[in-house]
Amino acid sequence: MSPCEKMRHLILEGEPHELRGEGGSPLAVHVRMCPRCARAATRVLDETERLDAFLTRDPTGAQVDAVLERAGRAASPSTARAASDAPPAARPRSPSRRWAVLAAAAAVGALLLLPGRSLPPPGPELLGPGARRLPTVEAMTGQRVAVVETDNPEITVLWFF
Amino acid sequence: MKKWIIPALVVPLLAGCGGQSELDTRTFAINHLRPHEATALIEPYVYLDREGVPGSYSAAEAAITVRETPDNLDKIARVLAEYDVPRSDVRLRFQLIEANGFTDSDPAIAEVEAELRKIFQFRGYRLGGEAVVMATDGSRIEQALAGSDGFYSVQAAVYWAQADLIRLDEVTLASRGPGGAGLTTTVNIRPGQTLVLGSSSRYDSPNTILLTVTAEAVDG
Repeated sequence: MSPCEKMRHLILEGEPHELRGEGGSPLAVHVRMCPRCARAATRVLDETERLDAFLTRDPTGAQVDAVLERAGRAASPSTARAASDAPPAARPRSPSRRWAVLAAAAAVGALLLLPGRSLPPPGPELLGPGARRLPTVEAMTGQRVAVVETDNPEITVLWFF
Repeated sequence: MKKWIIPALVVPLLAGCGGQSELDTRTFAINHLRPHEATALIEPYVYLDREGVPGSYSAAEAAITVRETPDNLDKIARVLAEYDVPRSDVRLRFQLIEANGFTDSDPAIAEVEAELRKIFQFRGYRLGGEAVVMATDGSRIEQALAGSDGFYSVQAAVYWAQADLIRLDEVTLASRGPGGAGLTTTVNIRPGQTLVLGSSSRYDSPNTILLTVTAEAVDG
């Protein structure tokens, strides 16, 4: 994993001042030195602010859709891959940053926005102990869904749009 | 004397080799696995590319016939004995949650509501309807749920996708009124896990409708 890839995981968790390159944390230092990651951090900040603004005004489902969709369209495939490769357990989130993380993940696209696709029926390999873990949701064709892990490990929210 | 030593050693060796390559055919009853699951389990023990005497198998709905060496047939028997076992039934608890328009908290959905409030900013949540459904592996369920503004139906095909993962195939929440608009998707849920399925309103309701499903394994 390159330093930039590692930092992109941190960008999803970073505090605003770190994303702005302020302070001495590894993330802040990297953002100051790396123009590409600085742009990614700026996008996360922008999306977070836009989402906060929407949700503060009127939190209807349609507007959540709109924000997620707009963020998803702006996704960068390479960044999206970096985000989706990260194991969830390696990215603990604080409740106060919930929407920031959601917005950031929506912005980078792949982790939360699963394009509709058809998967093969569960194969026999699923029986063994080393079987690959199936995704929580297998969206229908044309369907997109945001998968939001909550602080309660037993509760997962799936938002379809 | 020496003339007899070599044949005495070689003949048993050849006999041993011949014994290893001798194939036998056996049919195994399959009681609980689906055919594709059974074939995938046994495939590693069937040497389809063995030179001269390849193994083979064919699967039917409730049986699989294998042509292999006796040793491998015994291994296959052991594998099937371990994995072709009854699967637990599944208890599914559905809750229809209506969001927006209310300010009170609903103790019946306290655990889920606590998490929803961290994510969404709907003014409130309340339990519209609730139902518990028992499903066997491979069955299809359909359940009506009463909301405050009408009836909904939940449908899904339920089966174990992995040892610890239940698949709700094409789970659908639809309003039962004219039009019957709804949401259909496929989810994989762990026993003990709760999934909350939501979308911007696509039902004939002024509220946003969320469906929670909690799965539990129920041993017979």
